[in-house]
Amino acid sequence: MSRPHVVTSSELQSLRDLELMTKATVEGLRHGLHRSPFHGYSAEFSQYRHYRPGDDLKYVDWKAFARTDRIYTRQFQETTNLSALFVIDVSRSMDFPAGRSKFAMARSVGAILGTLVLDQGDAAGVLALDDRAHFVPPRSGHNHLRVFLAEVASLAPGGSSSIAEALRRAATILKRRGMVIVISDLYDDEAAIAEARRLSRMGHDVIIVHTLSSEELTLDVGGAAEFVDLESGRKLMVQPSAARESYVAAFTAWLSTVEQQLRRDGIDYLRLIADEPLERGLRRFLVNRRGTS
Amino acid sequence: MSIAWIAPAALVGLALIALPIAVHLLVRQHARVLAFPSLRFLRETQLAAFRRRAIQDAALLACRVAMIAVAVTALAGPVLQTPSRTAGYASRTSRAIVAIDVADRSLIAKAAEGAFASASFTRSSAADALADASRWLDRQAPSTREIVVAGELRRGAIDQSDLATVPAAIGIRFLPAVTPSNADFIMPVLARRNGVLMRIDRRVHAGPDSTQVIDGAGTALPNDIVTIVAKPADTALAEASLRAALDAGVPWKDVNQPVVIVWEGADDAAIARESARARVIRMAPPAPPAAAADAVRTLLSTVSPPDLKDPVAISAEQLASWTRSPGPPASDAPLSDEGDRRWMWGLALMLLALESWMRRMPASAREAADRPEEARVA
Repeated sequence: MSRPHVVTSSELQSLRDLELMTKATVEGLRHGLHRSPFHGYSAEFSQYRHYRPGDDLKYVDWKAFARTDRIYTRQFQETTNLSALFVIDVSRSMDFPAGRSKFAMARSVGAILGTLVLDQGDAAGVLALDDRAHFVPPRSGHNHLRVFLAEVASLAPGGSSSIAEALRRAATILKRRGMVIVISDLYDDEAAIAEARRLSRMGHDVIIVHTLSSEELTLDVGGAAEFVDLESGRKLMVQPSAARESYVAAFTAWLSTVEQQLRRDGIDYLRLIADEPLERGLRRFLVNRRGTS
Repeated sequence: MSIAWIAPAALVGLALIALPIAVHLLVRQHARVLAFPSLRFLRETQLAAFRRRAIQDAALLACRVAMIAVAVTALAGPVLQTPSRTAGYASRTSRAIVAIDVADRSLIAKAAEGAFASASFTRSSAADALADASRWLDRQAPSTREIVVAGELRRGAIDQSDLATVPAAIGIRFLPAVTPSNADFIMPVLARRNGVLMRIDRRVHAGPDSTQVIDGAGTALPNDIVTIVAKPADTALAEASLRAALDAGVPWKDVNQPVVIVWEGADDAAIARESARARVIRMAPPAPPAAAADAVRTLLSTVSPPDLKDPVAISAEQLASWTRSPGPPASDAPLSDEGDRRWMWGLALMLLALESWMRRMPASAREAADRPEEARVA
């Protein structure tokens, strides 16, 4: 279902930026992890390759090491047991706040985790729905990384489709058990959680990356303003200092409910704040995930 | 310890404090449009009612009120009346120097030495100079006040009646210049000798017991330097009076300016003719006629008097009796800027900088500082 895509100069620039950022972050993450947080299984030996930091030690051939004094990793022909699909929310609500938006962070997270998956020889794809479907099927291989990153870089917020619809579509795309990584602000939470639950029950390993901004958490947005809903366009006059207390209470309760519901269904939940360092949050999550696997 | 004000009327400006309060209370905050991901957790605020009641940004308002109050206070010029400052007032002297016949200006500089403030006054009469000096001293900052009369203090230059106009709280001192011991001087006189009008330099010697007058060399002058015109009936009396006056001699300085004395009733044509060449001085025909010569002489002695000074100095005893010490500083003396207002200006500038910084700082950050720590969501 791949499609021809003409890359514009701005898309190319954003792809370069994304590649640079991804490379730096992935290297940092890999050094700390040593063992992959994502698991695939291999069947048939294919070849040796030199050990690289981050490679799983269980694939190191110690006999070869004893013979040659060099560390080799065994590679297997069938290495795409893990098939990861990144479902990225491109709704308008992700385009907040101005500057470093939740969407920019979602794109970065997708690129980083996708690179990690592809680097360990597994398959990664991406799906996003706005007025049309942006879909790259999960494939493995180094050449696919460029395709994957190009698609992620070309995404832009502004669609009206819900993340639940994208998850519904993912359920039909994934023919066998795999991993679904959802990156969204979950404002259509009920439908999205129901679809995530359905995917989980189908045997998929579902990870929800909940992207938020600090302004949403604390309503720290200055003086009185006419608030406009980014998705519905609804308007509301609000004095933040007066509304803050009840807003923070309701928002906190909602976050807690969403997290509890997801964890109860065995779905991994990672909350990331747009203006906080990305690498720290990802590292904590991946280390925890490796520990629980 | 108390506070006095240089310009207390400026304190009216404290009413300006109402301005920022009114602005913060009444001005409706501009409702900007803010795109937000979702409104599901927000409820509409009753903004109109809220704005009427609440002061927007209390910290900024407090800063602005303080800034205006401090600036107005600085304009009013506060002077802190500490005991040391009050003592300082008594230890400094404002000095007005009344200069009388001062040839050497260093005398005035010497008189002004050590004064907190000083000014010199040179007038045609000592009374005028003393009055101006007193007025000037009244305008000076709190200090002891004194008048120093400096110069050649000859008899008649200043007397008790002149000094009586000086307020009692103002001290008086005298700084006499050294008077030449030789008390001779030359007095030019216009006199007729042997039928010829002459300018005679008359030498006057003022001795301790007597005064000697000796006629010196004379210079012949035209007879028409001084003439007299009267109606025909008085002509003889007038000319006899002028002749008698000039025979006795009158003090006269300017021999180049002809003078004609016109008795009332004289022929207009004659007056017009004389006025073309001479300065006309009118006088009533003296009565009785016997006094006419004295009247004409008295009049002539005022027409061109020489610059004469009394050769005798006012005695040291006399000056000592007029000397008096200054009183304490006047309580109603206008205050001078003793430097207290500069601290207020400095504080006002600091508040201005703070206000500027607070304006640039997001309102939410200030609100957060005013409010208890809000629950952060992990």
